[in-house]
Amino acid sequence: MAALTPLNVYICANVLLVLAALVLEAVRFFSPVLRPPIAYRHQLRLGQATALAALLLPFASAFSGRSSFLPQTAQVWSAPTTRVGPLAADQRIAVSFGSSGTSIPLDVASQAATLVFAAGLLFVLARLLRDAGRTLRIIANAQTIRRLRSARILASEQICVPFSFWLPARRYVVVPAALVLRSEDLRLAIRHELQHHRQQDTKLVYLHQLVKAAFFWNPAVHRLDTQLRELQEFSCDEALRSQRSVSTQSYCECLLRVAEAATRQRRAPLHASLIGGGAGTLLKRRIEALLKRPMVYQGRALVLGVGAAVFTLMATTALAFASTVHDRRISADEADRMAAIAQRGSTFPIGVNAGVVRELNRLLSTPDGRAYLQASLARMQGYEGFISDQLARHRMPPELLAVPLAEAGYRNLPQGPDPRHGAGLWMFIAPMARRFGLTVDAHRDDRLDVAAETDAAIRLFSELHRQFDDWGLALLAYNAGSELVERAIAQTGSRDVWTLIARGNENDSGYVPRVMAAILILENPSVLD
Amino acid sequence: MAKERSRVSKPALKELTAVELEMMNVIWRIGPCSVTQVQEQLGPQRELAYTSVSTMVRILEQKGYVTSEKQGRGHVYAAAVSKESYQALSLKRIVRSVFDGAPSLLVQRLLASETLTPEELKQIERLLREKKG
Repeated sequence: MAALTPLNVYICANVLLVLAALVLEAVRFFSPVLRPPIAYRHQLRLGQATALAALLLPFASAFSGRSSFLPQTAQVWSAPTTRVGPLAADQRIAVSFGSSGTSIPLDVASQAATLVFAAGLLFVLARLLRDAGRTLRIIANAQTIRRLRSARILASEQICVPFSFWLPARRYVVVPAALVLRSEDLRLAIRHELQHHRQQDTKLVYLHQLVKAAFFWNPAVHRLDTQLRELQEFSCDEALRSQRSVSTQSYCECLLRVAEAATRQRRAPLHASLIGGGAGTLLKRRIEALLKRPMVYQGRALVLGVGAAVFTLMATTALAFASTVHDRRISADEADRMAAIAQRGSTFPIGVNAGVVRELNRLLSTPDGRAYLQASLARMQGYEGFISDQLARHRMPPELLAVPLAEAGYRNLPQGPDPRHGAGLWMFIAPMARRFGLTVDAHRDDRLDVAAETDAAIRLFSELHRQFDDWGLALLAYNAGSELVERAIAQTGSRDVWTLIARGNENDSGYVPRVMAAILILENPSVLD
Repeated sequence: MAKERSRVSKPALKELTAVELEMMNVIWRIGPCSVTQVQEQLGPQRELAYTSVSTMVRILEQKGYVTSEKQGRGHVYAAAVSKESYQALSLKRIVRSVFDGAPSLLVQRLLASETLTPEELKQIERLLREKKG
């Protein structure tokens, strides 16, 4: 399950980022309707907080340990069917929408996804590095025209639009050399860019680029980026307009003159710049906001209220999408945990090893395995009470309930065409059944009498346990015969059932591991939820 | 002069923009001067604020074209590159970028397109003779 956690966090973050983009869109749509509107700086902070929550909440929900309450549309199976042998370990991911679905091998899916993701990430990062290099060259070639405590003001002949840029411990405001000749425009441009530094826009731009790189394929992320950048410009304008020394009219004129010059320049993404990025109508909207918008804004209470509501919505969504891709595979650690639960208050020797994990996965981590198990457990309900009573009366371990589950899936099977196969819930072969007094002939088969066969099975198990004094060896002998077990002990000098199995002393391959898996499943019924 | 030529040959010396050249022409013409003097010389039709001129002169200083010296309350700016050096540098740039690095092409174009007086032609001939030694 842990292997898929990063994938689930990523999927959840994508969903939340879409939500964040929608929320910001709604806030920006409804703000002008409100009287008074919400201040741009509050809209900006709300947008930034929402985006940050979209990035952090998935981690919280992934580790909260609560399973998601949405139908899981994607599941990872250890194999497409129980019939696949252990060598053809074909782990698959199945994605379903409603009744239709598809599945592809897990390694193909993960390799393809990794490849596409890495290629996209590399492309975006390469472009970013190229732009960063371009910006650094502009700065290296520019002349310092002023040194403020908060930033260095540079003039460059290579640009037409002022921009601000942050490097650790260094803040720059770069203006076009031509702007130096227009002292009022220069003053306003520098104020605007310093406001970007003050708003931390020049630092946050790195986070923007990082998120855009990681979620490059998600259009909502690009929309969110555009929205936030626009709001940065609007809040800069808002801040400047409230300053007494800035005349709104000359500020608007300055914007227009710079915009005119900007038609000749490509924008670099690491800048926060005077005319901003985004849609072509932005400048018009900014000037409208500067000239027409009232200077009274909604109080903090409304903004905080909206923020709290949005956060609740996002936290709920994060929980709903906590594990979109559900890993059905059972790891060795999980098997150990299951064994610890099964072993509680029991003296039955429950072992977990690679063979047991493989059998658990065949049953629990394949679609038909789970279906078979569910049907078997439903049938078992009809017999469970009786068999449990019988086991208890004869002081046999209740774990033996798992034997009919592993043998026949609690189907009361008649004798098949192959006489080496057994019949009934306990799958007694005919000679053994006769040894315990059951009639098996052409007209009558006592093995199909559950009470009679259960009685025989209990007598056989108690005989085997008396003989070997070990339930593991008794289980092996139930399937392979006590002669084989005796011989194996003599040959190997070991009385450990797993050692005997490892040396190839088996009748049905994987029989004891299968019974162990069935015991673990019966003691941990939640694994089938 | 020799010192200046070595400075000119440094690739670090950046080209002047039109406004910067205008200011350098003032400094070359009137010699070491203050920002106010430059502003006056540029004339009222340029409508340049004192701060703009001051910033431009400081840009020229960073580019290595002028040096400054504190005098009283203000600074006096003097050309660090002679007009001749700048002419030579500009010509080199033009030869390299426009005339494929061949100065003879430049001379050819000059003789073909500029209307030269007989005196100017004679002067050019004299210069050529001197150059040949």
